[in-house]
Amino acid sequence: MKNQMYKTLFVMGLFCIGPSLYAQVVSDGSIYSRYGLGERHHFNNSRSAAMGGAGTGYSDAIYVSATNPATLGYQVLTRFTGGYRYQANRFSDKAGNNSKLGVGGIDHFQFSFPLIDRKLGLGISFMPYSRTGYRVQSTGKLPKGDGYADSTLYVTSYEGRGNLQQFEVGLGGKLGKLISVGGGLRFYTGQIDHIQRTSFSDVENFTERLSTSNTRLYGVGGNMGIHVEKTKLGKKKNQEIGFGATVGLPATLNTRRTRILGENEIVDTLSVSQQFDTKLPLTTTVGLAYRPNENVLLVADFLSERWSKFSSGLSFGGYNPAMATDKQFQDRTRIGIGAEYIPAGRNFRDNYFMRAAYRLGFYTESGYFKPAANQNYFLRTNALTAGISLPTRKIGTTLDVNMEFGTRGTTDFGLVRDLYFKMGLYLNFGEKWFQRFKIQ
Amino acid sequence: MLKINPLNMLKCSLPDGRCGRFFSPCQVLFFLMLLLFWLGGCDSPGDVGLTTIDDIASAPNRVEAGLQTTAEAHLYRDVTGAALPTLAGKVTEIGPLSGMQVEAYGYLDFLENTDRTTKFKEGTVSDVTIVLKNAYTYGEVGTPVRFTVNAMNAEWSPANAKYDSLLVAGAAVTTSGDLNASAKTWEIALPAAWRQTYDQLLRGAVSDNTFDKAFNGFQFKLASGNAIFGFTPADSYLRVVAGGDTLRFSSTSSKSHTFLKRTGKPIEVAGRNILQDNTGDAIKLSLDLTKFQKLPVNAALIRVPADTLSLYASGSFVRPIIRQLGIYRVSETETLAQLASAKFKDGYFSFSDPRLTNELQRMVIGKSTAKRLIVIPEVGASSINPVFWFTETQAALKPQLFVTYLPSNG
Repeated sequence: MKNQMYKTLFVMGLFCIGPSLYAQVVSDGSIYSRYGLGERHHFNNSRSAAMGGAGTGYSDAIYVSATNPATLGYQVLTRFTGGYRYQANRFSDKAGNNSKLGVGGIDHFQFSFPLIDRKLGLGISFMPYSRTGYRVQSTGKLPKGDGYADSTLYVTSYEGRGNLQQFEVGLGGKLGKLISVGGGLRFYTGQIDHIQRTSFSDVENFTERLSTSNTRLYGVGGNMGIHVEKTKLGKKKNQEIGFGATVGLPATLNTRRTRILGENEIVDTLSVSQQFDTKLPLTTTVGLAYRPNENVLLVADFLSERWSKFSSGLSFGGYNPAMATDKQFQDRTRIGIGAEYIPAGRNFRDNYFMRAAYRLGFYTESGYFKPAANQNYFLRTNALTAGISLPTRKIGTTLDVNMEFGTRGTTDFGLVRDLYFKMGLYLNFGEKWFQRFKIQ
Repeated sequence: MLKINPLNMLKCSLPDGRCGRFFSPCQVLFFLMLLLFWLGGCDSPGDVGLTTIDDIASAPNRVEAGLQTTAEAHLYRDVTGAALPTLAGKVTEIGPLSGMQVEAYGYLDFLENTDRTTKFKEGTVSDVTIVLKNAYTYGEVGTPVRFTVNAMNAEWSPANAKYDSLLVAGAAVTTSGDLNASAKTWEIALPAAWRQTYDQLLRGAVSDNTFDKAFNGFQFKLASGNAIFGFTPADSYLRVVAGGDTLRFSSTSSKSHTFLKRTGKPIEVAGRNILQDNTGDAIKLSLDLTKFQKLPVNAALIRVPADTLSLYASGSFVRPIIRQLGIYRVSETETLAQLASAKFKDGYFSFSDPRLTNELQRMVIGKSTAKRLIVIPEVGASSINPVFWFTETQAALKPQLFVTYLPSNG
């Protein structure tokens, strides 16, 4: 009982420190996260992340879906998952200029447990809905003169940082042998900062200044899911097929923007906007999963997010409420496919690397915003994903290492192309908690 | 034909079937964590992507802002009167400042020396001489000067006394003989009548009455000559001789005061205003910052052109010139806070200081508590040094304000 209490405290502690760890995420990502509410975060679980982000169609007792609450009913173990992700970015423009930035941070937390084994389960997840993190800077020289004996170098940097966080409590259960359904209540909260900083080499005569546009958002939304699974197919009865679908309901977020000038000695709130509504769009995902034998799993997902219906009383990158009649955002679509191969299949006595799972995937995604104002170009991202899941001595606990290599954007229209490499390390911990012992 | 199954590479290779992994999973995890944290520290941000930011300015801009200057007559500096050196004398200006006269009364007190010898106590005071150390000269030094020494009849305090605080003195004690205006040390012998009056007090012969209680110091006024001098109290003293022994009754900076009075005006020097130390001259600055409202201000530079050349005196007339000015914020309670100081260089006083920039930043965001900004001399010691600054009629030489700011922050 004592151990269980410590475990519970540990998980609660992780959820408490989660927001502060997120806050440490620095502004070193893609310039495209400047647009809209930032870069949409797509995460189902670490297994899906290595398979092109697809995984709505399968259910698993080890990997709990963070997006499809219907699969929560398959749980047997109390489970905690968390991950650290590092992303190295290389940006290039048409002139051949390059810059590099790297960012690391806690990716997600998830805690789930069965209420009734393999029938009803509860899940709590905490992850970004979208992320803003960029940093570009221009350098120049102010000439001497006007009383200044020497010229001075200046650096004007533009930084974006912040997340719109998504905290979801989901419940899912099985309806018969084939069908599972679930629903989740989502709480959104977050703030997005766009910062402009100017600093000078001549610090005796010039003073660094900072101005910040801080946008705070909060609201409530919902999520629903369904999962259908048929097992023991084929001659050897070792084939499985699954279908899943989720609907992330539109949510209205209270939004307020504050403009702040300065820091430390001189700080002033220049303006505070009225409270406006920002409407998050409907998200629909459908996924298929097919297991031809006990070694292989094939998955495919399609996601559609109706950003064309986005509205807000405040402007965001690529969106101006004064032009709300125009189609400023477009629907975001994402297609992901992937495969998993476990050499040992279900043979738990095989050697270590044969019991590991090897995954590969690909996804293509059309962004929801137009980064070049005068061009009808919407951002596109293409990426290859891969990963390995290392089993541990503890049955039901894995250590997953994922990688992703992708490209985003174009060097046309004055834009930049991002090449990025993501590496994620995920702990997927499962243990039997809350057991009822029979007294003999 | 040799078949290679890549999966065999993953299988255990030890004869007993156990795995011979080089690293344990924990070690792999540890190294991966190290790698990730190490990678997280690499970056080289640049201007790639800057072109996508079309709604904000990318370069700070420097422009000349509106600045109006007006001459003010207000004794701003919170001088206690004990500012050193103590000035005394009178000068009738010559050259470009002709028509102007400045007079200074110097006040010094001398403290009793209790280290008296028996010989000193039992003897008779045979000589009392005021020894003054000259640390500042302004005016004619080619001809001798004479000082009148007046007795201060009542107790006085320099606390809160400004340069326009006149302390009333009593009757004249003596008038010095001719003193060399160029000398560094002057001696003024006090008359026998004064010695006799203070004989017992100087010797400490009256136990229930002391010299410090009975003596209140002297006022020094110029009797003849055309100059103002500055005495350092710490180096000035009364030399008292009694019974063949000599003692010093030292002066103290905490009991000294200068009264300054300027009369008349200099003959008109076209397009120039005088800024003279300690006489109440100041330049009031009026800034027009409307175009920077709510914008980040990175630097402010105020340039005040000045004319020192025409004030240089020739011959035996000595006229030190102001070499440093300060910009101060005047609060609602009339207290001063320094924002910048500048030395004269290449024809200008150029003020550039983060404190000045921050004050302008406060102004553009409406957070400044300054009633006004002023420029006043900053010579570090008591003086009547002058400098000419140019009036608004001299467009090319008028004071200027340059503001470096970021035009828009989106």
